[in-house]
Amino acid sequence: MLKASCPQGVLHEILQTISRGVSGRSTQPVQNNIFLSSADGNLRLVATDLEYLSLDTQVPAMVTEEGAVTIPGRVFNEIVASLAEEEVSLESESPGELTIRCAKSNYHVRGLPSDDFQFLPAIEPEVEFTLPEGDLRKILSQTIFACSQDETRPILTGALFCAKPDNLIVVATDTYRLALRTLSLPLDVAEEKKVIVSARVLGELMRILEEDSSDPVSVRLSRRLVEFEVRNLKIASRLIEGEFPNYEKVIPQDPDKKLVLQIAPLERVLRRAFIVARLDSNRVVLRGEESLLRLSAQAPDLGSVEEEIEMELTGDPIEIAFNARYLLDMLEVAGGEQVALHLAGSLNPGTLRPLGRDDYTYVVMPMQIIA
Amino acid sequence: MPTIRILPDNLANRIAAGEVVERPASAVKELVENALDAGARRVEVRLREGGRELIQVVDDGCGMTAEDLVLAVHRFATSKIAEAQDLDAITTLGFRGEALPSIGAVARLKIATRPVGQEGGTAILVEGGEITALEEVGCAPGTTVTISDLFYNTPARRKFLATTATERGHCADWIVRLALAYPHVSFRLLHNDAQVLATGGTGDLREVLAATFGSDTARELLPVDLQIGALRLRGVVSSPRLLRATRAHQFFYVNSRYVRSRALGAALTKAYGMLLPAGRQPLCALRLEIGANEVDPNVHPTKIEVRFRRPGEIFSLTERAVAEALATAGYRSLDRPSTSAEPRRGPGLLPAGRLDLPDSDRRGQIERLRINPFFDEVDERDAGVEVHAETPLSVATSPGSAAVPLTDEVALLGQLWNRYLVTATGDRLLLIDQHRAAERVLFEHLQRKDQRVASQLLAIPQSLELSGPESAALLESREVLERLGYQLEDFGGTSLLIRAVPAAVTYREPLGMLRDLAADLAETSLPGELAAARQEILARVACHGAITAGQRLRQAEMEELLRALLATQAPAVCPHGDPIIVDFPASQVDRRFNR
Repeated sequence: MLKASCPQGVLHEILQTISRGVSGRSTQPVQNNIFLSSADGNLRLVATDLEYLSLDTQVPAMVTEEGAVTIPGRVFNEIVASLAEEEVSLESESPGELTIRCAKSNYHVRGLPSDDFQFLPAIEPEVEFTLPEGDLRKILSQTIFACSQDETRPILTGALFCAKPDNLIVVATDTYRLALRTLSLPLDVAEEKKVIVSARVLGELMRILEEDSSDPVSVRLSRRLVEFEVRNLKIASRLIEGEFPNYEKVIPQDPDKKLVLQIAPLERVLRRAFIVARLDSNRVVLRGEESLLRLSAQAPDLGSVEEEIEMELTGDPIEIAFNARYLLDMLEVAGGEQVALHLAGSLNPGTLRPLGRDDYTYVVMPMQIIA
Repeated sequence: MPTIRILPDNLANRIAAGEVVERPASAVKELVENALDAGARRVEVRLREGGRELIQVVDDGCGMTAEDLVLAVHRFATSKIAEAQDLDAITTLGFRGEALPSIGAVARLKIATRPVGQEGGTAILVEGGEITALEEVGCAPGTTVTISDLFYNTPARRKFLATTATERGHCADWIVRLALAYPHVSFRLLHNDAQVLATGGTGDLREVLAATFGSDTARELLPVDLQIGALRLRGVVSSPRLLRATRAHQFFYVNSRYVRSRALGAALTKAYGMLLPAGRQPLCALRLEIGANEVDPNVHPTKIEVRFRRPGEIFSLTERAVAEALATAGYRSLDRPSTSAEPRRGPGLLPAGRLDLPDSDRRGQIERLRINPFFDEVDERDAGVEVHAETPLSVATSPGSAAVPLTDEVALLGQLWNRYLVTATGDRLLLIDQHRAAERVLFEHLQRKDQRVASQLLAIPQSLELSGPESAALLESREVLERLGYQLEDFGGTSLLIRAVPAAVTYREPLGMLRDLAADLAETSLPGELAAARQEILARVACHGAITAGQRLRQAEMEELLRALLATQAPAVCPHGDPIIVDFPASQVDRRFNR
């Protein structure tokens, strides 16, 4: 029977993370619980919806007896959060029950026996590599916002991970825009491996990853599963099956116009124009001539807005309309001071890249006015 | 080989007279059924201009002798029944003996036929109901029926034919229905010499469905097979991941006859229960195997309606068979097994699994609603009204801020049963249907922007696999759809390639919307006039794009919806004319409290 203890702070922190993996909607009641076990000087906590998300973590604890139990996730989290900052003792005296003691508090919680709890199958990795935590977070923040929300096209609700011997490519698209990020580093993989990972899992992963950390994150890929391991936490998911669209064909090859813009002022004018544009499907019209870019938006019932911003233009004058939201999404995470916008015709895709960098490419499709 | 005889008068009278040929599709249906009754393993249908110029059905069935051929073009001549009692045990598709004479009366009809095992064949020509030629010809075994210039002598009828694409779609519909009933027969449909549909005749129902609806649809189909006593139900139903807006993709068969049956449709819906969101329908191809004398198909000349002798048994067999198929695939509706009547009807019942009580899950708790303007004379400082909810009252409000004054007049109180917004004015309580409100808002939005619509181009054009009638319906409405911001292309077969979608609906699954619209348009055609058609398309786009009933809304979403609704021209009725707002005057509420 499970019997262990650990400091309230440690347990609280880990429950904050793990409880996000509890589905709460499973038709099998035990899957709405957190699995808790004690062994080898560790407490292990697992939550999974058996579909897209599995969180599995271990924390050091005083283990007196080995055992396991499952506890309703939300209640467990709430109880631990409310306890005094002292040692919390956990004891399961009969199957499916847990006594939580801390200072003078004494909770007796009814859960379910651990035998029925199901885990995602253990991954048998075909490809495994590591990369620094901060780098992975950056890559994800620059891509996964472009994943589709449209459940009728499941493939696009995930991001493509393409692991090659000397770089990792992550691509996301909802067909309106496409974000592609390359990270050059030796991955120690024999050949190219492509998988599609659900944006939901990547979103959860991003919450966990720390920006300034260079701790290694292990990435394991099999035919059906992906697992990320960072510090003491494993986050796993089933892969989305299917063929990701050929993203290379989407990236324009020879756009003949190039606009160089300061990111911060561009973000500001777009935000101002957005106040009007959001009443007209977020549409802003960009007119570029010589060293001036004019942005305008109008809404049928409200009125219109015009803004000007300085830029450097190479090539002929241009007029093109975009969804302002799609431009802002990229500018917010681009990094650096300046961005280059490559354009061809007003019905051809635009390409945004942080100036002087070729590891981040963002293609955005224009909007057309049907008169 | 069955021979053809003239039905005795008394028998002919038992068969209600009726129009058999209404449009090219009805001729196609009758002819293909004849081919199937003749034991064909291969049926090829060629159309030109939607069947208006040419319908040709070629089969490799048993063929007819010269004598039978002459009899066949007489009214009520049939090889399939001889005496009255035969009517009680009909096993063939056609039986009324009306098809060929009816066609011969309204078109130029040519039949060339050669019975299996005979040297030569016979050809007959019928124009305006008269035999104009009868000769010996050389031809392959089987029968080829050629109809040209349909309705040439009934100009009024001809005038009422729809466009080529629509008529082609109706013909394709019938081929699909028959191909699903006869998976062992290989069907081929050509229109203006281009192949529209082809099935392999392998006997595999899924192969027919893949050929008809596209392979991605066929993957989501679950097998059904249940036998109780002499009744057996077999076929496929779609998983809850594959649903449509209409029942157009529900194919029911009694033995091998395609039928339309409310009862079977209702049993199907009941089996899905809560797995089915409001306004969505599963796909199915289900075949009921039943003794011939348990049904009476002789109800309507087109023979689509059936009557069952024991409808109750058939309903429960269907419901159980489908529910079991779903359960086997891991889909189990929360509301099953249900003993009471329809679980989703009736105002007192909340949809299962969607119970939203703020702060606590406990039932029967006291919900405190602050409904300030509920009564005329209230103390502004404390106008709280306590509503004791015996049955759980689901009012999703953010804690601490129940009533949100939106305008000077209308305050938003919350969402009720995930279907209605609860609002109040100075002297009225208003319930607003969220789906219809959203529909109205979107409709006016689309309409106002009719002159200048923004279209969002796609980086990766998306292919949409549809049925023949669906893709025909969309292509036919292409001009209007393009003015709305869709850009579509014929992608060969029955697939379309979508290159752009209306910018206004990029966040609302624009392709799913187009798919629903296609099903909708294929089922009921549009008004002929372009302006009227555009209005109708706008209304349907609005309907498919709008948020649905049963959707939980966040506070901000409710406020946005209410604001947008109040800004519309006609906030009280949806584009289809149904009420959006139901109001209860304070005086009426007061009366209920005996004030």
